[in-house]
Amino acid sequence: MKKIFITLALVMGVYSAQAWNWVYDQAALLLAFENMTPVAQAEMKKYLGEDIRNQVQTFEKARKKGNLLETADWRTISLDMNLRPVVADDKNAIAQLENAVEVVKNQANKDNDEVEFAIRKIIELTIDMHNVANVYLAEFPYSKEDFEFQQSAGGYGKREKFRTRKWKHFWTYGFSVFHSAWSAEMHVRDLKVCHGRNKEKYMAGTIRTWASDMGNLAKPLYEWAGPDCELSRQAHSEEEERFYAGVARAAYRIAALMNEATK
Amino acid sequence: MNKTILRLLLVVVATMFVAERAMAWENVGHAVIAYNAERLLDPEVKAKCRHYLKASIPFYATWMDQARSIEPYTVCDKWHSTNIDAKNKVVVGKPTTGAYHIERIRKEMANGAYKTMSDSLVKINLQYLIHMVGDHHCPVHVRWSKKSHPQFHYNLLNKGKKRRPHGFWDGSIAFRRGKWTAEKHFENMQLLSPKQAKKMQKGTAYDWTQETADVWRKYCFPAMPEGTDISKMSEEDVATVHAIVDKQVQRAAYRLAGVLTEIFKE
Repeated sequence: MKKIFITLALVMGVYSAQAWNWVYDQAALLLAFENMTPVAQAEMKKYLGEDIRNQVQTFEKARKKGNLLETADWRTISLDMNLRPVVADDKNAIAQLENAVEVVKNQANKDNDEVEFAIRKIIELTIDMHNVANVYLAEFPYSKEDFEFQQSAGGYGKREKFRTRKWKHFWTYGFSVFHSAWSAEMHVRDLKVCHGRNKEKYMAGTIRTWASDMGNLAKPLYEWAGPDCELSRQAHSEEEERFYAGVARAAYRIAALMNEATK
Repeated sequence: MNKTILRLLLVVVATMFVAERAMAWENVGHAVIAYNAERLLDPEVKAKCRHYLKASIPFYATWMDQARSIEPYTVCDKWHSTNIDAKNKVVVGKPTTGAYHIERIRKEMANGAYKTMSDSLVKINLQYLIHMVGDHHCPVHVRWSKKSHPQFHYNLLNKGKKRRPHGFWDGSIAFRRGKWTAEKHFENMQLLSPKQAKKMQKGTAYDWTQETADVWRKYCFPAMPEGTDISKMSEEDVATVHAIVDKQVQRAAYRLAGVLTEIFKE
């Protein structure tokens, strides 16, 4: 019996490893870098090094080693019934990002570690706040939970089978399965083809208006999705558009924040 | 109690493998073929494809594997492969086969006729072609009847456990290649001169399927006979498998590029 559990765990592990989810983060950062001013690009390289593409998920890596645990509370945004951001304390992406931009702006008075940390916050929290599973809507209280739902495992009509999945895991790993063997550069190209025309629109505004924008993107989702909902193969396929829209927004907005902070 | 849990776990694992196996060429192979094809296109044709798809060609490489479970596209569930008759010849003109629909779409869109279609119909047709041309170069995407070809209905082994050849060949592009990206696969593909490419692109989907069936009979089946244990394959055996599938990927990529060029090139 023990062997079976180990085998099952390994199989699951392999499936996760195949997901390449970090490729989306890399793509967001590479596209962001392309859209930064030369000054912002230089700052980025100065603090993070020449190898920009691998400067993603550093907080997550640290958390796995038991460090920077407080960053786990910074990934989310909350919106009220009118989709206005709620920033009651600093345990959210909005407050942390606003703070990070100020640190980079005033870097002359800061030590290097503090500026580097702020730049990492700009990258990671901008990505995090553009994942709809990190958007909490007052109108849909369950949006705050990592609820279980039923995901299609194939078949159609009466033959469609479902399996229980976790919501946040799905929004992190659930779409890379469609694009095995894709490099970050391939995603960058598609993000530009699919969303390049919206670049100016995405980059305009403030962190708070972007939060509301994410509320508008997430709201139609939570109108039908919630605990124990069924996510058919069709819905999975359609939701990729929402997922990609989040990645594109994150990419252009990282650039906007870095450009603003280094102006 | 233990038996119940055991059964449950086995069902879960089996379901996962069935779901994976259902994807022809698997996601990697389709992504590679579509990416390679896109790299072979001239800018005019590539721009037209992107105009209608609103994305790159590889973006829709596996769409049809999702669509087969989605209304109104469930009709395409049978279009991922094509039948071979008792005399080893491809079955022509059967609407439940993919080759039929590749040719149907090619004809419907030929000579600028795509311009009379709605953008959404052009898009769907492209999505079908991107996937089906790839599928019809996968050696296990020819349908052999069990009655006429019982020898092709057999099992391989993986660490002593039975495994269908379909699952193995679908995933053979990525087999023991770690996390190769599509770009790396493109670098690995042998590029052809324009003359060689034209020669390869000739023919219909039926001809290509016939060739795939012959590849299966002459190369794949002898290379991996019944009882071959995948886990015990030597480097030489793996190289043989890669030589077969890399050639099929090259053919699929060039032919997909050829089909798209034939449709869109002014």
